[in-house]
Amino acid sequence: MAEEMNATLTIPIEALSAEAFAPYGWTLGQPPSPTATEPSFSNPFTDFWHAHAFQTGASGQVEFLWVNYRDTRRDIGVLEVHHLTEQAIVPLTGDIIQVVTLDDAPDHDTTPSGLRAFRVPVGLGICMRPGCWHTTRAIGTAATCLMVTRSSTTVDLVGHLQQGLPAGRKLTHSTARAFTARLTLSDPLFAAALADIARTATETSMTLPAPLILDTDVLVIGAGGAGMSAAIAAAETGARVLLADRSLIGRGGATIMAQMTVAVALGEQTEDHWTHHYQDTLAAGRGLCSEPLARILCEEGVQAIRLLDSWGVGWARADGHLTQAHAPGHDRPRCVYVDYLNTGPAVAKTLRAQVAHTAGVQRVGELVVVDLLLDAERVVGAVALHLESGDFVLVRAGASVIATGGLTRLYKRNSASLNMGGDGFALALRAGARLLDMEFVQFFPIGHLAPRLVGFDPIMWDPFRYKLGGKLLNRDGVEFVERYGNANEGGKYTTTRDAATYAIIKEVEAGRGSPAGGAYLSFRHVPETTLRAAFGPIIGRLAAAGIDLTQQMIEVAPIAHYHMGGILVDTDLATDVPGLYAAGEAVGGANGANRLSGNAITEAVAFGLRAGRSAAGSTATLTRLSDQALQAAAAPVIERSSSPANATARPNYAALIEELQTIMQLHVGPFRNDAGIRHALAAIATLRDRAGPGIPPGGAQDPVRLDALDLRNMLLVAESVARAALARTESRGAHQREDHPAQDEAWTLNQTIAWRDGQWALATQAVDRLPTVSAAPDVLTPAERQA
Amino acid sequence: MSTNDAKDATPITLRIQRGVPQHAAAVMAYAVPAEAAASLLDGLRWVRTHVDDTLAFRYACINANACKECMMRLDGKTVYACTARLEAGGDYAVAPLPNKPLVRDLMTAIAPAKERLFNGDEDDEH
Repeated sequence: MAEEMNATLTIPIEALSAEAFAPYGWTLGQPPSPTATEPSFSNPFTDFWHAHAFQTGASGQVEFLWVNYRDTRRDIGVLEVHHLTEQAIVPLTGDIIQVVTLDDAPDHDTTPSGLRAFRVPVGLGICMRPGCWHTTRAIGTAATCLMVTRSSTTVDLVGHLQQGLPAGRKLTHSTARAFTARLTLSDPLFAAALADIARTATETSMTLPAPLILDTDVLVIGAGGAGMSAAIAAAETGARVLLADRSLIGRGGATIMAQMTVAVALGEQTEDHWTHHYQDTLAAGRGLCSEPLARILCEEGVQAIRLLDSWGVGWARADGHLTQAHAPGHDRPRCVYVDYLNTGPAVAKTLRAQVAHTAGVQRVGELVVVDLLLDAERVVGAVALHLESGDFVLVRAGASVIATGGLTRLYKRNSASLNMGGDGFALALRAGARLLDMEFVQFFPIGHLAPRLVGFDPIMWDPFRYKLGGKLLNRDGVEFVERYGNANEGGKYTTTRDAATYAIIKEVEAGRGSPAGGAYLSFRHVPETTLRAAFGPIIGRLAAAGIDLTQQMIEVAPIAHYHMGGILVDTDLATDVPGLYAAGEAVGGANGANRLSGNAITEAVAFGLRAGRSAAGSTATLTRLSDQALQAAAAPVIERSSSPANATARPNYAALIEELQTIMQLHVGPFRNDAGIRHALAAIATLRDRAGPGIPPGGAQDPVRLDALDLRNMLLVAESVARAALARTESRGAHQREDHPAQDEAWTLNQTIAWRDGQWALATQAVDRLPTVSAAPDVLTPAERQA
Repeated sequence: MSTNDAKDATPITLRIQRGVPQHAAAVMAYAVPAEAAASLLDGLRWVRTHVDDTLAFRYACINANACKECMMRLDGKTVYACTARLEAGGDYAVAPLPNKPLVRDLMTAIAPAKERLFNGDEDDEH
C-alpha cells in the first residue's frame, strides 16, 4: 500500500524560455529577436512587437476566455489536449505552472512520459500547439488568466466536465485523460520553487552582486568543543575571531553528544599523573600514536579540564572530590563526567556561554564553509554558503582552524550528527594538506541496536557499563569476549573498543548473534535500587519506552563512532599548508590505531586551546589580500558550487548519501578485505558519476543544495579512507583486514594521503616518538608525587 | 514490548505545512511506512530520501535529543521531532513553530540574534 502511494514520478519545475518551450508551442511577451522580421516599434512612450499569430486550426471563432485558476495541488491526475486548435494562456494576477507533454499514449492508464512543468510568470504567456497535453496550476491561492482558444473547443471541454465523460474518451475537439500513477511536481510548494527559479534566472542572466566579505584574524570552522575552545584561546590573545558553524553555534557536532567519560589525570579519585594517562593512550593506539600529540592531549588536558571546571561545567563530585570512573584501557579511575548522560550537553553549554563572554569572537551559525582560498600557497580565507540567506559570502582570514570533527556519517550505522560527514577533511584535501591514517575508524562496540529507542543516543549503554558493568552475551546467553583473546570481564567493563567490536562481529558471523544481528547486553542481575541510584531519571525514560532493564536484555552492535585519522599537524596544530590549523577529532595521530575511552573531549579542548593560540600568533605580520584578489580566488569555487545541475535529471542526493553509507559500512567498515575495498572504490566512482558535477543553486536553507555539497565532500573523504585502508595490508586496532589478519611490525608506520591536481598520493612515514617521556616517576616533581 | 511484536503495516500519513516567507503555505500529505517512522524525525528523513528531497527541516544530532534543533509542531503541540513517537496508521499534522520567523517549510529562525550573520535589524523587530 505504501509502495503504491509512493510510486511517484516527480516533475521538476523549470523557468520558462522560448527554447525550452519550443516543442510545446511559443512563449509570449519575451522581447523580440533583433533579427525578427515581424513588426515591432519602440519609442520613449511605447514598445510593441509581434508575439504570435494564433491558428484556430479549424473553422470557428477565436475566443477570449477569462480563467480563474484555483488549483494549487501538487499532484497531477488529469491532462487535457486539443487536437486541432492552439491555446494561449497569459497570467494576469499571479504566476502559474503549466504542465505539458507531447506523449499521446492511447491507453489512459499509461503514465505519460516526457512531462515537463514551466513556471509562467505574470508579464509573459504561452501558446500551446495542437496536440499538447496539459494542465495548469496556480501558485499561492489563485491566478486570473487570459486564455485565447477556439469556441467549439471550449464547448467540448465544458461538456466533458459537466457530463463526467469517461477519461480518455475522444471528443470531437478536446480530450482529457486521468492516470492511476501519481505524478507530482518536484517542489511541493510552488512558492518555494518560485524563489529558486527566480534565483536561477537571476544568476544565469545577470552579473551577480559581489558577495559580502567578512574580515577576521582567525576563522574557526566548526563550533563544537574544539572550535569553541580555539575561538576562546585565539580571542584571548587579542585576535579577532570568526567562529562559523553549519549548524547552530555549540549545538551541532559530536561534543554535545558525549554521554559520559572525559579522561584526564586529575588524581582526584586516586593518585594519578598525566604520564600514566599517556602510557595508556600509547598502548591503546597500538604503536601508531604521534607521541608529541598524545603528550599534549594528556599533559595539557589536565589544565583544559580544570578550566572547564572553573567555568562551571559541573563534573560529578562525591566525598569532596571529583568522581573519576574507571574506563576500559585505563590503568586506574580517570574519567570525569556530568550526570546523567549529560557530559556532552554540559561541556557544550559551558563553552557556548564562555564564547559569548569572550570579546572579539563573532559567532555565525548556519554558515557552511565550501572551500578554503589560497594565495601563494597560503590559506587566506574561505568561501562559505550562508544557509540562512542562501548567499555565498567570502571570509578574509589571517589563519583558519578546521574544527569540523570526524567522518562517521560516512557509515550507515553511526553515532554521528548530521555534521559529521568529514567536511574538514575535504577542505584540507582540496587545499593541498596531507591527511594521516585515514583508515582508522573506531567502531563503538555496543551501539544500541534493538528494540527501537526514540530520543536516546545510540552510545547510551557506555555509561551503564561504566557504572554497572553489565554482561555482554551471545544468542545462547553465554559471555564470549574471552573467546577472542580478551580477559573474562567478570561483570565489569574491561574490553577495549577494537577488541569488543571484533568479538561481537565474529560471534555474529559464527551464527551466535542476537536476533537483530548483534549481541545481548544484560543488566538483569543488577537490582532495581542500584539501577535507579546510578541513572535516576533515565530509568524512568526507559520505562516509558517500554524497557525494564531488570527483566529485559537489549541488543547492541558496533557503530561508527570516532575517527582516529585526520589532518596531519605539528605540535602547533599547524598543517603543512601555511595559514591552516586543525583541532579536535579533525586532527590525526594522537590516538593512533585505536582511541582510549574518554580521550575525545580532552583532545577537543586541549587541542582547541593550543590551535587557537597558534593560529592567532601566526597572523601578526601578514598583508591581507585585496577585495579584488579575494573575489578572483573565490570565483572558481563559487562557479563550481553553483553550476546548475540538470534540473530534469538531478538525482536525489540524500538517497545517494544513503547508498554511500551502505557501501562504506559493508566494505570499508569494521572488517575489510582487498576485493571489498576495491568494490567500494568502484562504487564511489559510480556514485560520483550519478551525482554529476553540478550543485543546484537554491534559496534560503535549500536542503537539496546542502545535500549536493555534502555528497561531494563525502565521496572525496570516503575515497581517502578506502585508499588508505587498501594500502595498509595488516590488521591493527580499528583497521581489521580479513585478508591480512595479523599485525605486521613492518607496518608500524603512519600513512599519509594527499589529493593534488586530482591525483591521490599515498606515503608512509615513521611514527613521531618522544624518547624523553617514559615512565612517570622520574618526571614527577615532589609536589606532584604527593598529590 | 518485544522486538518481534507483529508489526502494524498501516502507513503513517504526515500532513506537512510547507512554504517560504511571503508566499501562501500549502499542506502536503506524505505516506510513510510505519516501520520507517518510529519518531517524527525518522519519518521526515524517510520522506527526504524516498519521496521528496526538497522538504526542509532542522536537525543535527539525529536521535540523541542533544542538539535541541528539531523543534516543530505536531498536531498543534510543540515537540522535538526526534522524541515524538508516531503510531502506525496515524494521521498527523506537522507545522513549523508558529512563534518564530519562518525560513522554509518546517525550519524557523531559532538561533539567537548574536549567533547570526545578519542581526542588525533584530532589535527593531522585537
